Amino acid sequence: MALQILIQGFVLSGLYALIAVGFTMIFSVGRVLNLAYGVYIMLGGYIYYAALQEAGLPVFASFILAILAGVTFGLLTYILLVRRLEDNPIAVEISTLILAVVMQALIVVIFGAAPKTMWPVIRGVLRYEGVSVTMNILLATGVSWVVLGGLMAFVRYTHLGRAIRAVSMDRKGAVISGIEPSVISMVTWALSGAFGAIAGVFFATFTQLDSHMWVFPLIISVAVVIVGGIGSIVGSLIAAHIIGFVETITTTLIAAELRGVSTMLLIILVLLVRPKGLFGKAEL
Amino acid sequence: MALLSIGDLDVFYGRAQALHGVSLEVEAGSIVAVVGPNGAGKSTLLDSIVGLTRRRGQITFADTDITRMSPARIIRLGIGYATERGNLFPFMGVKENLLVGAYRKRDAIEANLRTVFDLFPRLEERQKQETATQSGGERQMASLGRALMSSPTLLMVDEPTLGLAPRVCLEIAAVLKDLNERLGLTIVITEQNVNFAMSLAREVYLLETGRIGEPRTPEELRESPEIAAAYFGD
Repeated sequence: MALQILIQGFVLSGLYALIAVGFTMIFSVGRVLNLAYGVYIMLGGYIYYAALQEAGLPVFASFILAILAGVTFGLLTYILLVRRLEDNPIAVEISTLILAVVMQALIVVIFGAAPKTMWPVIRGVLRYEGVSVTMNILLATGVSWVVLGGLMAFVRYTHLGRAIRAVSMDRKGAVISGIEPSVISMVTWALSGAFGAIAGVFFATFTQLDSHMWVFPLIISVAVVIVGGIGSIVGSLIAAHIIGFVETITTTLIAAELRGVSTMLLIILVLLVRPKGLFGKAEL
Repeated sequence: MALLSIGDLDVFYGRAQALHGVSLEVEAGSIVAVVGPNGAGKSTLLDSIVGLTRRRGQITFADTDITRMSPARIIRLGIGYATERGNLFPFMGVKENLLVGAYRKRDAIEANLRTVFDLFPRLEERQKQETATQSGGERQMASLGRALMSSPTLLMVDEPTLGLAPRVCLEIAAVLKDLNERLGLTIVITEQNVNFAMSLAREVYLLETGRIGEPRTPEELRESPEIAAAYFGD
């Protein structure tokens, strides 16, 4: 039982960290909650499905298309909507939420209302000491670690990555260093779309494709920001593990129906006890 | 020909006007000080030069009209700006802060780091320390250092001595003098501390409630009764 919780906890947490990172980035740099973030995840899943299972493209090509769709949609959200409303966070939240609902309707129009089952990215099951884990979810965890590690190296060791952190910490300081915040915002939204799409492919293979699937990842993302505090990638990573493990423990030991509920309760608990999050600082 | 020339500059915050017809000339190789009380518009003036405000008038730098340019382009032309509070990146180390300053000047990073660390050995000793945990003096050094990382020809420093101990003020003054004399940097500082300003600059402008006067030498200022009354308390 303990081993099962440990393995499933890590696997789930890795997926949650991947889901949340694109959302956290936007929040750190622009101080806005992008409630359309779940759409990037949904779009990633649906585009991958359409390319692989309907158009018959190879896995790799389908993945690239999903990522491109995420990047495009991320950039469009910023350019057409958020950039014009940036001074008003509430307008950003309302309009991105509406965008998500519109996209949900559009998905129903294009793909129909019935849920679709995605093939796993890779097949097979790993059994160890009576615990079985699908290769697919292990791959998701692996990809999550690679993506997050890459992102951490990017923001730490490249000029562009440092510029993203600079804007998130002190906008004026960044501007007088010659950084253009609007360019940094575009890069951040493009990356956010890419991360959302990657997460979306794995999330959809883990559950299934349907037009409501943007909601749960959004809740996870909000939870990670609230539990982890603004910004820090390491903080988000730890927060994702707290959320992942709390969920695994409650669903394994208490009742599987409690999936999601534990996360909500955790959000409220942290808001009451530490409103700035457990690791809150304005860093990325 | 002046390196920086400002003519009839008006600056607005919303509907409030912060600067009224400000004109100012900075010769290449000189140190110019803008002196005035809190709220006179000193920071607004420097912010406006790098394009951070809504402004009207004419600003020319190195024979280029920069009045309508974006801050990033103005910085790239060769203006380094150390702001009043430093605007450092609190959760980055000192060296990372300096590297961000090199965002537009990546071909001279090693040389510029060397220059900064030679000017401020303390920054080299503590290059990994997050600036959030530094003392005021160290932050001022890091802020100056970051401004120098873009290889500027004009360095603007907003209130270099604000909140600093006298000993640190002397250190900063020595560095600014050194930058001007040895490296040929043109420098504009703003100050409330008139004595500090006069110890450095050959030309001092008075800025009060958004209006600027004619430039004067420190000697002229000392002999002027109005200045004596306002700033030296006698």
